[in-house]
Amino acid sequence: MSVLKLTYFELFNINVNITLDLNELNNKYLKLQTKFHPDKYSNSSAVEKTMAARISTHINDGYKILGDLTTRVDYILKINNFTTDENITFKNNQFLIEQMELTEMINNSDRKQYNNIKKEIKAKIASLILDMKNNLSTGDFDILYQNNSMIKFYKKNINQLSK
Amino acid sequence: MALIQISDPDKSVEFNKEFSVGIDLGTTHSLIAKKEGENLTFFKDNNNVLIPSIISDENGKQTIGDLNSKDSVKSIKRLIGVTSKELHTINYEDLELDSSEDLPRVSLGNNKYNAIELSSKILSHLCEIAQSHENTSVNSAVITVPAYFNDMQRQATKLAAEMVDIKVLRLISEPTAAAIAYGIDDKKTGNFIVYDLGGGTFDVSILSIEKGVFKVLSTKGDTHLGGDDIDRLLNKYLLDNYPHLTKLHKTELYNLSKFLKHGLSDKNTITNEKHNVSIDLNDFNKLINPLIEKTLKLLNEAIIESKVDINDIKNIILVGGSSRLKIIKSKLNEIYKINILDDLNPDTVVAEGAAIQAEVLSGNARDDFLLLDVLPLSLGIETYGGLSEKVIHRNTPIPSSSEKTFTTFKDGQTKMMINVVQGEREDISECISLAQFILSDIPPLVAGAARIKVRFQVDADGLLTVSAKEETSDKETTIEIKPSHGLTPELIQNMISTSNNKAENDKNYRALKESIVEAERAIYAIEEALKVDSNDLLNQTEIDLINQAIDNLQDALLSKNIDTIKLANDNLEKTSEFYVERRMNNSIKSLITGKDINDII
Repeated sequence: MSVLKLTYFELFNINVNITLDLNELNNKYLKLQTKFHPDKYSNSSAVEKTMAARISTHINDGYKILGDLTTRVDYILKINNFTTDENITFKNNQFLIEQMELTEMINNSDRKQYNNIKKEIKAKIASLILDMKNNLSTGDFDILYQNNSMIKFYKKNINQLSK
Repeated sequence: MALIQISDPDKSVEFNKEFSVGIDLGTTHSLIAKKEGENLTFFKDNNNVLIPSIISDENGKQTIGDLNSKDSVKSIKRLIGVTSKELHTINYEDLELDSSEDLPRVSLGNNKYNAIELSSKILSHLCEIAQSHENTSVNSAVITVPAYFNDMQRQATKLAAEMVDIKVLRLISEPTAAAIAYGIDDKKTGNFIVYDLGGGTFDVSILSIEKGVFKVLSTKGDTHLGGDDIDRLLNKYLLDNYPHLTKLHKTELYNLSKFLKHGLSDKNTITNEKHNVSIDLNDFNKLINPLIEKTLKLLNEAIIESKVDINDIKNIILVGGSSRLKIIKSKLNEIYKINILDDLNPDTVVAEGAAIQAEVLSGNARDDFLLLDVLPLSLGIETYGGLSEKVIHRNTPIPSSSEKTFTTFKDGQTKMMINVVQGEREDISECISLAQFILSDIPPLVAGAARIKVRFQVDADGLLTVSAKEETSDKETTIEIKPSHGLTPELIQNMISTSNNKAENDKNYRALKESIVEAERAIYAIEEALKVDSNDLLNQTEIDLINQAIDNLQDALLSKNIDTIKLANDNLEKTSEFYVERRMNNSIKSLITGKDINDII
């Protein structure tokens, strides 16, 4: 059915962009689920139940993917038919060296310094986000993909620091 | 309300009304309740709302709820959805088990029963109580389960209900049910923590409530941590410190422990003169502190995973009989500066929430209410090397689906074993295996060339269906499975035929009644829909086609023959499918373009 063919951006009526207003996403999410969640169809016919369950799943899946920066960017790449072979490892030697240094720094510092390191990483992410916005507008999907991969690494660093 | 059911809210339509209840199937006691408008009824057994989840046998006659019987089984919930192989993961020392079959069995009287059979006996008893008060039999129920129950435990609970002819409207998690009971009437909004320490399980959930929408943000728990464990610690303490108690029967010892524990919820020291024992609050707290610390650690993890700032949390809601322990409130106050809500009875609040949800789902009630739940434990697939590759992560809103593509490991490989697991650890031996199946007919290709797409679908009850598809060949191989956890169709059949089932005639009558209700609903829904938008969405031929199917079904209803009715109903659904689809598409389009829902209805 056609609703299921809508992209998540179309489904939530949100412009395709690297960043989005999470409050707006949440409000639209609630509005859509209020209409299509299976609980609203518990007394309906089997046909309606099945369809509602599929639409509700589609809404949840979209909410999950658009709600997070890196999965959102992956999705933008996907709807622009950009594919990479998942088996090819990310190769950017300069970045990998930086990652190794960062990991070492995290291991060698005490908890008090964690917040400062986090701040530094967040600044790097913020600058990558700006880059990605440009990448999207110029259609440089290859670079967009690479920038997004770097953010995934930085997010892992932050998780490590939050433990 | 359903899209196709556009009823005038002031003109309620009386179908054969369903009797729907909320059931809290607890480790130590169970409750059954009904909500009807403003009225909430807890059905009482022997004048008691809390019905002990104890099954006993006296000379072959089985009863539920007898606390003093010597041949009895309790805390059966600990065992539900656990296979014999997994017994080492749980604490069941007070149950004598036979683990020679896939599902462990408990001796009772001259027989042995698995946890599903025993749970269905409790459920059946609960429904009989409700029936005796209302003079009508229970049609359907919302049953609560611990938030942290895995797929096996959920499936098993649902099966236990279905074995005794209870239609499960929804399984909802216990902390969510409690939040519903708290949040429904005074229009609460904001973020809430629900801390639920029951007889056998501990759960914590973080929820946001706004405009009647209850959204679970994260959930954590331990399905084998609760008041039972406190009793067990206390038993051991008593035996260690009062050697004369070793001659007590285990039931008496438990009752003594319970007496002391309950006494300490409002006193600083408690004495039992008959057995000449006493314990003060400090010693007791020291004894149970490790358990409480465990719950606090899980609470902290749940807060982190919810991504909600601690300052944005409005209240902590206390649920479960064991949350009455003094130490819990004082520790929570110490760590979090959050106002604690405990004005509803922690023993009954879960059943109350279930009853509210049952009323909503049976179509008898409010429309301004929606519950959005999450998957409690990640679902994945075993990959080479015994690792789990997550397909759907925990705390994902449900219903949900996800796909992963896998490939072959050897040249010419034509079969692939797929092992579906649930749990957080990477090492699959730390996860629970939900199902294993073999995908065959993969075309022989070089290693890594085949593309096998595995799709997971989790429904609103949190239950999983898996399908796999080989994509490289023209011929698609698809297999669809539901995890069965050692519940073979034969075993299920066997359990159903041996359970205390209703007489065949009674069952047939009920089935006929249900099919009539369903048909009447379908006719009403479509006729109402046609009044609204048939001119916009259908041409005359299509309208005639649908009307013809309605007429057929109306004729079939006169026959009072279940097969005829079902056939005609299926025909109506099939005939009107395209119309339903058009309406759904139409309505989502209006929603997307920003019109308010109320504009469409």
